[in-house]
Amino acid sequence: MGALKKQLPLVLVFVTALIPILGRYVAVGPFPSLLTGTAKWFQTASNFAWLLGAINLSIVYVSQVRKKRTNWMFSLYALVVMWGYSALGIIQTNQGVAYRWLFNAFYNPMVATMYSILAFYIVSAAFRSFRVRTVEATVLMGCAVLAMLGRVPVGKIIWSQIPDISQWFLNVPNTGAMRGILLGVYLGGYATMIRIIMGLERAYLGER
Amino acid sequence: MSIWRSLENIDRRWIYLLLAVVMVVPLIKPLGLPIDVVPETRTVFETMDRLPPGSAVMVSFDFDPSAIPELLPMGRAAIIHAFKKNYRLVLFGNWTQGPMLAQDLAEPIAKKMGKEYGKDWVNLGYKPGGSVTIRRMVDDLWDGAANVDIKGNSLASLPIMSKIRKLTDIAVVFSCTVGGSGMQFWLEYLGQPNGVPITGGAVSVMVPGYMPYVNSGQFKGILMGLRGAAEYEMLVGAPDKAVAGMDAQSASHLLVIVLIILGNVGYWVQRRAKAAQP
Amino acid sequence: MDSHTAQVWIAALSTLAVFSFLYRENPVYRWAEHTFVAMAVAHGVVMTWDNWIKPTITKDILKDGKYYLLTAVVVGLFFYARYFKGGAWLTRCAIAMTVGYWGGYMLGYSPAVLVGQLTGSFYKLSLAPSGINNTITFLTLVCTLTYFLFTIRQEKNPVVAIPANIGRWAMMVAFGTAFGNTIMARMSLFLGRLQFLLGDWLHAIK
Repeated sequence: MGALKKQLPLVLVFVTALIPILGRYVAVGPFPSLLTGTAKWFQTASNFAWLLGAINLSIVYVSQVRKKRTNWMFSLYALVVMWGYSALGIIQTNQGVAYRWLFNAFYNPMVATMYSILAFYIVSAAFRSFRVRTVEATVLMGCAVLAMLGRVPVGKIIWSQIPDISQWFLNVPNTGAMRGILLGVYLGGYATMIRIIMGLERAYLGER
Repeated sequence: MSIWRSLENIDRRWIYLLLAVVMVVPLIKPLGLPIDVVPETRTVFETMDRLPPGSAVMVSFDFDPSAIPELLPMGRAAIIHAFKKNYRLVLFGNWTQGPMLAQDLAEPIAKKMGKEYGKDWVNLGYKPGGSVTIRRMVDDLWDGAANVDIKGNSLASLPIMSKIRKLTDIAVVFSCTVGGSGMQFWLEYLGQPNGVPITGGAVSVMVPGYMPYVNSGQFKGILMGLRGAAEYEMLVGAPDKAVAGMDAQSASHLLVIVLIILGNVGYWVQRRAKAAQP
Repeated sequence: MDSHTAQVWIAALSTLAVFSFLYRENPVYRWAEHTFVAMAVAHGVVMTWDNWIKPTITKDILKDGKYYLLTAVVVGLFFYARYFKGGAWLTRCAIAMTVGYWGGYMLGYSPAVLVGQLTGSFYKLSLAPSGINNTITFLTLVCTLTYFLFTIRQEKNPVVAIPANIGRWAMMVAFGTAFGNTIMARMSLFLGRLQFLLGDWLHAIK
């Protein structure tokens, strides 16, 4: 039984991966219809994992509250907000008046502001850490400055050619270099996926 | 020497305040600097513009509120563009928050332009499942989308959906992209295998990585961040927040450049001083 | 105060609550942080329920009688088996099926895009003004790929070393361009909040 529990996921990952691969590349026999026929089933199976995030977060928060850790009151508050807002949405639907009102009053501005803080950090980092110590760093900084000036109207006022030069750097050398990196990313992704299918890579199952 | 050292050790909060001031001033007193249109934006505009009236166009809000400043203006301009050209508009989102933002955005525009929900436009909402869902929607859009729109209406009850039974019935997909589940995603699972043109825009940070797709013609142009949004707003004839923000953007970029220069001058002055010490 | 004004005021105060972190860590920010995380998770739950789970149960299974989907529901419930003693292997089975199927999709559909990238690299290569940029792009690509050629010792082979060096410089150009664009993206985020605070809230701008 122990061996079955260990081996079964590896068999499943192999078999389920074959369905779309064969369905896509073998255009005859039952394979294409197998691909279209199984999609809804897998959609449904995976989508029923939709409460995992909420449950995991609840476990963390409940543990904080039980052990009365620092700021446990915030954890309790978050639990109430999370399940309360979920209940409101499920009762009212996501288009309910109160649900949408709360979304735009709290969630929307908070997320937007949370990320906008990065603007301050990047300015501070540019001032403190962006040092021209090597020729490579100088090229990097030169292109960064060119990109910054080329993308805003003031660049053209400083020198009319800046936008065109900036655009050329983006369209030509940047494209070539990025494509090189991209090809590596694609091939790396395929290699990892093939390792997973073959059962060589098992980190996703919690194994080392 | 001591000035440079003081500058280097300045409390970061002064820099934060400086940034805020530098960006607030041009917002209150805009200069109205001219904005040119780059070819990539023009390609996006033409891809959207050249369709016959009545074509079905999908605008996919593949982002969350963090990307609102750059992507919402693109989405807004695309919606206005689609309504102006009398296309059938289908809104969608690969992120949970995107379709909510789309609905808030489209409702007042549709009202103003006399477009009726369910007849002229629809919001399919968020459909989880990523690639598998998209492929299912290619074979059978209704089934892949669980047969409901964002409001829970049956798709069969919406007249606009009567001739949109598969994703291939969509003439163009316009994606506002912040992460992986955006333009590249649409290209892999719809554009490349089925030949549906993929266009749209991305946040600036993703643009350099997307240029290979633009160069190969796999993306039909790209709107590059806020600047791209501003250009598209102008082409559509509906200038709004993106255009209004470009002066502040100019000021902030100048500030960053000045700070980088100051930081480096300070670094070299101190380094020379250290080297000169016996 | 009408509903919309109240909403704008709360949104503005929520914005300032998050910005307060820039001064220092404080309870107001912590409140905002917990609200944000809780609502983000809740919103995912609601959207998936409304747009998928509910219609699948009510229409597909109960109304249209697609009872075979009940087996998918059972497999979906395996994801929660890890919360019960001895059930972790069932969760691993569900994860394996999902990873396998989605991974198979990736291997099935993504290579066509990669091929498009490769063929796109050879588009209109020439030294004429109309094709020179394509040629430079192609050469930059070759040089960048050469930089990652680790099977040949670069320092001993100039045929590899020179293009690899050019590739390194090309990547510096790309990273610099990416950094410049990152600055733009980050500034835009702050700009959006400023437009909200100064426009929608304080009405200081149009």
